Amino acid sequence: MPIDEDILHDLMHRATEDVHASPDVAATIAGDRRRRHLRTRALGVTVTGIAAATAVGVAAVAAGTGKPTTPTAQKDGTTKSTIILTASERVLHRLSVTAAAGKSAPSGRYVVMSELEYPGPDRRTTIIDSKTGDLWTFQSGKGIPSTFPESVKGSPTAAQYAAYPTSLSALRSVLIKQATQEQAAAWRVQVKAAKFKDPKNWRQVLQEIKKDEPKETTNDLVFSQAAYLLWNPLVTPSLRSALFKLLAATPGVVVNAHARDDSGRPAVEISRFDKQADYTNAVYERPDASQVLETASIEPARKPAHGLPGEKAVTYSDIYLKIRSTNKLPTKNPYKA
Amino acid sequence: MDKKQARAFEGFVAQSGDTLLRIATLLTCDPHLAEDVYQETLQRLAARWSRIDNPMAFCRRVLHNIVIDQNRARNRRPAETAMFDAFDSGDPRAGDPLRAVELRPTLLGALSTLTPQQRAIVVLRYFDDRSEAEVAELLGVSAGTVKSTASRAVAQLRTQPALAALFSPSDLH
Repeated sequence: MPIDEDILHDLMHRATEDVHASPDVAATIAGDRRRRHLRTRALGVTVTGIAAATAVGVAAVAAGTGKPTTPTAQKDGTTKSTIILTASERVLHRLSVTAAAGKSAPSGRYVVMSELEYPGPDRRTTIIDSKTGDLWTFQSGKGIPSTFPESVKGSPTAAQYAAYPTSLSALRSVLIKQATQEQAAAWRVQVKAAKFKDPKNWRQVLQEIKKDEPKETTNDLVFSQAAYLLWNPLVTPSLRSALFKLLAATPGVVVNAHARDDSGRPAVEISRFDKQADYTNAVYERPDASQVLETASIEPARKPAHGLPGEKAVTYSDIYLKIRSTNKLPTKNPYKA
Repeated sequence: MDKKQARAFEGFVAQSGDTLLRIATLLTCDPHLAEDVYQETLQRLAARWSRIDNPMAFCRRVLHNIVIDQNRARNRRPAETAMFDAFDSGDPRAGDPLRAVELRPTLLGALSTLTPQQRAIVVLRYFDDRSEAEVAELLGVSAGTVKSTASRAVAQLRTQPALAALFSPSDLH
């Protein structure tokens, strides 16, 4: 004779046996995450040889911002155009000056970053080897492993960052090239998967996928790459300084000089809405020192569509609480007693 | 999430999506709310996919947390007036008891009389077939609490008029 628990087990299974999840939900969520991945912080960015990249044919950096120019009289009787900076550009140029005067490379070989990640919150400690680019992660949060395996060459090294060009046109060119390389690498994986999945009609499958890919402009790519280079403490003062100038010259950048990061610290918020990918990227920079306090990706609320329920607005953010450097690799998990 | 991870994620959902949605249905006692909870769970899973070694355990915990949070939020709001009877409390044997669509309202109606914690324990123990120790770890309570809560919950379900008949073994199959 079945006991109550067996009957209950049977009832619950019979009552839900016709409940099936729509595969569209997973595909939509995975698609969203995939698009975001293209712009996530520059860990794993392939920068080998990037220093050798040439800045060919990109010379429109300062021209695209629509700055008003005023002719001013000179002593010799000629006139000269004076560039009037907007308030946003002034703030970014000030950050550029602060960055240029900032500390150079960390004194120790290993950089240790204590972070807070939302949604969660999850606490995380990332260790970067400035010489090899290897990464270690310790973390604390529900349902996630406390130690993440070592990621060999998971970050650019200090030397690779030092090799980035600092002239604006060359830097812009490199960032576009870097973003294009990332997208091409992601596309190669997709081609391989499509061929494996449907050897006969893989081209058609790819065409369908390509239709949904956001068609981002070069300014979209420059902002996302620049914004996510800033967080890494291995970035040199001269590169940081150039990145702020490049952001000042990129159309669509919004600056709030009196913002606060999610932990309440005073910050300069530098953000830009990516119309194609439909989300906003934001960086919170410490105003009085050259250091990123937070990076965030803000997705707007979405109305129900294609049979899927709507979504609330959501912010994914990394808050950088403390950054230090050491010559000895920390091996103890700080979140384990 | 890169392309490879996206494929792995979609593979996991293809394999476990039905189970997750069924758990969500039983935990919320509302098929429409269950869809929302299910989707929210997948969003959270996708956000952390590369850092999770046991996605199913993560989803079980998140499903439970969302349902508890929603329940707390609902309790803070004034009660809504029901426009119609959500569930038919009549004798389920009036229809075909083997048909899920007829059995579901009855069972969900009975489950909705339990507290969210009792419901989570019952669903994890008797639908998802988790051991007492696993449920205890997942919900952050002791194994003894799981055992006693499950026992009380089953006894309470037995007293539900709509379910009492179904608890009679002779009516099964």
